[in-house]
Amino acid sequence: MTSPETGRRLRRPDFWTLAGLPGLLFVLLAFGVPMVTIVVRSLTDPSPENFQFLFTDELFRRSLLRTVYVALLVTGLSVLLGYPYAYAMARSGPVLRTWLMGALLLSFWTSLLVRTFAWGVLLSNTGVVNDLLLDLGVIDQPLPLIRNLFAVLVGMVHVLVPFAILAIYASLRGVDAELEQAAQVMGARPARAFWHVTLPLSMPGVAAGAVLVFVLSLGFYLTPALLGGPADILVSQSIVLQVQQYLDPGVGSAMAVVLLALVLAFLAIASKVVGLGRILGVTGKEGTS
Amino acid sequence: MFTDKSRSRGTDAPGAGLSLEGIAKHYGSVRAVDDVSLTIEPGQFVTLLGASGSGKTTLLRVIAGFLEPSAGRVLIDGRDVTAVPVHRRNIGMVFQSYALFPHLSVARNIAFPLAMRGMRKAERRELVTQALESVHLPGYEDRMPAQLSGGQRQRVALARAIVSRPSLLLMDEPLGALDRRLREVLQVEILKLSRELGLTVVNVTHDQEEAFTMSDRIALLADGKLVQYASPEEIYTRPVSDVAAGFLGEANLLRGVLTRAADGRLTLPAQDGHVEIDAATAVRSAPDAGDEVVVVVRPWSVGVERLGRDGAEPGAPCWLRGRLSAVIYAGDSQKLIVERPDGSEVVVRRSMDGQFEAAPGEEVLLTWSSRDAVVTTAG
Repeated sequence: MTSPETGRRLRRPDFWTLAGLPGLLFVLLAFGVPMVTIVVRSLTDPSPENFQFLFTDELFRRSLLRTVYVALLVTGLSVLLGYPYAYAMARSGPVLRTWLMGALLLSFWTSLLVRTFAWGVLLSNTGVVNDLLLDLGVIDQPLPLIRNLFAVLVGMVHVLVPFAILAIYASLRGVDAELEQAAQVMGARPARAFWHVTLPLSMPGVAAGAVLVFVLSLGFYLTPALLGGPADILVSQSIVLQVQQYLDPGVGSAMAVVLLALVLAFLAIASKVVGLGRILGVTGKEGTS
Repeated sequence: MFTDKSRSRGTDAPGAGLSLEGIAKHYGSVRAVDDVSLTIEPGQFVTLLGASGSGKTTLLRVIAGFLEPSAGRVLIDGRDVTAVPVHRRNIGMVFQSYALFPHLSVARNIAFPLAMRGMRKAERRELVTQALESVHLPGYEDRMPAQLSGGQRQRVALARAIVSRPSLLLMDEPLGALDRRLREVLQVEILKLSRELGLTVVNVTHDQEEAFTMSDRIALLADGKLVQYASPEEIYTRPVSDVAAGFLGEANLLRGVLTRAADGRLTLPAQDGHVEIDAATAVRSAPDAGDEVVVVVRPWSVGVERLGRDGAEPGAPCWLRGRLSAVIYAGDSQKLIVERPDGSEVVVRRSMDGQFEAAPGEEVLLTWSSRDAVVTTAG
């Protein structure tokens, strides 16, 4: 790729440039063009007043706040649940690590739709959990496990926790286990050694995982649509409503643009703190000396 | 040099005594450490010396408390600490990788053991300053570990290990990552510091020179077993086995079964040579004919001369013939490698001042006094 003869490269693009071209073209057509269309539509269908409408619309504001609220909850839960898992994976022997990694990737690679429907089967009023509890006589009315915030959080955390785990794991692998031992020699109980040494050193991974989960949560549609209640509408669902029910693609586009702007603004701030490469998983290493 | 305000231990006995009783550590069928017992007096500097895989690091980790021994007991000042967790053993440790906390400044790294033991901030600062002075890094409080050179990191690690005045200082190949010159400087500094503080030190190394320079006693380990535990001089002059002889200093090992000559002297059969034995140099029991022995001849004990043209048998009690195959100049000494007719090599060391004319390829005669050789056994 880095040919010293730049003159030759100008005349004849090298292999990798050519190899990347179809992919680039695909992204441009399948992603770039629709994106531009949406931005254009939000301004011209019928006019930029779409945005004015949004900022005065109480329902949209509520769904936007709710989206951020749910995303924050999902992020917090994913990090809290993901950290111990990542820690176990980073500090265990090869056998246990392989099992933990295998379980993680199995879930990671399973279709989002399948996983979401599976939670529907488990949590519905006639689902596995409620049936079991009813049969055991623990309860006599089905518990409200679905069509509410609880179900949305369960589903979204399940889908997003692998991102948090992998980011934290990459960071923890870079923290020498000897540092924790050194802290223990110096009189720190294992818990304190962890608190003073391992945790602060793994914070970059935690931050990267949190940013990733948060950003992905903001745009979640399928899981909240299938597991959430009709009153708990997120921005993504509002967009679908605008387009499919109210037949107002202009306002829907404006909503999408606002959501995109929110994500980009957040990424811009986060990348100042954490580094974009780490969030995207391009650079997983860190200096520990 | 340290004011002892907070430690519970008295200033009169800074270093602790350490006893290992029948320590063993097995991993499945592998015996990483196999029944090692040794006693270290308070204030002694002891080196665990061995090749990689000899069990020296495993043994150190058992002493530190990172590993639970499969059998045996660890006693510090007579107290059984085998079941005491690491953080309550009151030891200092210098890791091979230094294990400095990269997110903490030098001052906070050194203050860490004090903070963990509940000392107040104001008191910590004073001790940190003193510790940095004692490792010749005054004023480095606010640096981050990443800003330090290898040698400086090593010094900070040392300061951190001694700042809380541990009863025992453990060092896991502390100088392994440094260049030779710095290593020699730090060897002396560590030794001086540990003497001044009266620390009991257990140092792990595979570097025999380091072991020689620093140790009061050396525990020589091979294949998980304690081969010899003695002062460096004793291991050098009276190695209990060929393993010990080979590990400490250069050695020419001559193996064979002793025979008794007509005049009653014990000799080791040698092709193109004659090796008499002085029974007084035997490390273990008095040798006798029929014993399988290893005769250790140090390179410095061997004299070398050009072989006379007549080819007559020399009259010396110990001599070997061979062909000079290489002359190596090693700073202040000259190393000669002589190839014997059976293919084995004998190493000879000479100081540079003596003139020696033979060139590689010439036949030479090697002689030594049987009193300078040591008779030992295969380990």
